[in-house]
Amino acid sequence: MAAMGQVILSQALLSADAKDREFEVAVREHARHVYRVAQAVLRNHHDAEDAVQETFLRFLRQQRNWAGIRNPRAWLARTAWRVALDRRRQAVPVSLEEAADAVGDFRSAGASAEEVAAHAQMLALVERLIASLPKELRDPLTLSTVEELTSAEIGELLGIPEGSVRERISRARTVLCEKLAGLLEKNRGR
Amino acid sequence: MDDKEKRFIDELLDASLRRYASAEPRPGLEDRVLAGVRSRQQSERRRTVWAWAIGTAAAAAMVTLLVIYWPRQQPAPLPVIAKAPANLSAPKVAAVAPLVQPPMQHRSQRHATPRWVDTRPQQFPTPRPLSEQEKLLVAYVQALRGSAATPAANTKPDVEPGQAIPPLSIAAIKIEPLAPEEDGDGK
Repeated sequence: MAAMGQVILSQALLSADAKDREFEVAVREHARHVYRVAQAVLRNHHDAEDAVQETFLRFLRQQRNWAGIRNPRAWLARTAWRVALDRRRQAVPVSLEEAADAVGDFRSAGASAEEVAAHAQMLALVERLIASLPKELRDPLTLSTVEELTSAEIGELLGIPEGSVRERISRARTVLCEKLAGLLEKNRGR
Repeated sequence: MDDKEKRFIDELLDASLRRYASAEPRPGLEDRVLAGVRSRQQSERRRTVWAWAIGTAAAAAMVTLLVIYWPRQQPAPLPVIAKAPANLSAPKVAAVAPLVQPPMQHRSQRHATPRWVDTRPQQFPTPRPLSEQEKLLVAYVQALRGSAATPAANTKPDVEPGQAIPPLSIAAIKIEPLAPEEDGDGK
């Protein structure tokens, strides 16, 4: 009887140890991907790291159901997306005109598109423009900026068909282009 | 808007969106996440242990209170004392009142009424049947009384029934006056 108890105890310890190792592997494998998803929403390094931690804590709490999770990467991305949406704060308002002025100045100085995009003002301008999009366009576009996510994964994450994802991303890009062109045009006219 | 301008804006948007999510985490993200998750898990476990401890203590306290205040079953009534034999002049045993089982009461009423009825006999010490020695003593006393009564019944009375009793006369008592005694020295 005692020997049987010892066997059960050692098996439980081994199982706990295996789960611990499995969790560590998952963290090392997917932490960066989860971080990028959170960062795409939160736009803040500290908030994104907090969201990553929260995501993996939820993953750990689900360890009894790990066998039922077919794709841990997709599960983690989905959870990180929800956690990040819960934590998203109101973005600091950036003056569109000021940002457009700065971008116009860079362009007048003969900077290439890549050089202009490297400036903080351009990043702030894009953030502001994306934030102004309707949700149905904003979410697919935001997720599409995360390199590793395919249209199929974005569709699974948002619960919409893959074709809709592509169509919405395309529409979002069109809207952004029009707004950006309008701002730069206005800036040139002054 | 000319084609050159349109192409520039397209390129600018592409480059901006690439940079939008290209932020790399600081080195050591995985270790920080592992350490943070384990620390939070431990604190959660500690909270769980405390919650269990407090819950168990509360449950134990409730059980103790229940055990203390739960209405108890009264003990079975004492056996009725056997009747003493009729020929013995033993003191009468007071009837022992049967124990009264109080009806179940609501907790709020419990303190208003006494928990049990005092059924102790009024007489102290509690009467008991006579022992063998006491029985022998009683029998001896009765026998003694019987033998004492018999000669008295046989003796003839001084006055017959119906005979008139003569008046009792007592002679007068004469008391001589006391004479002073003479002392030895002639006084």
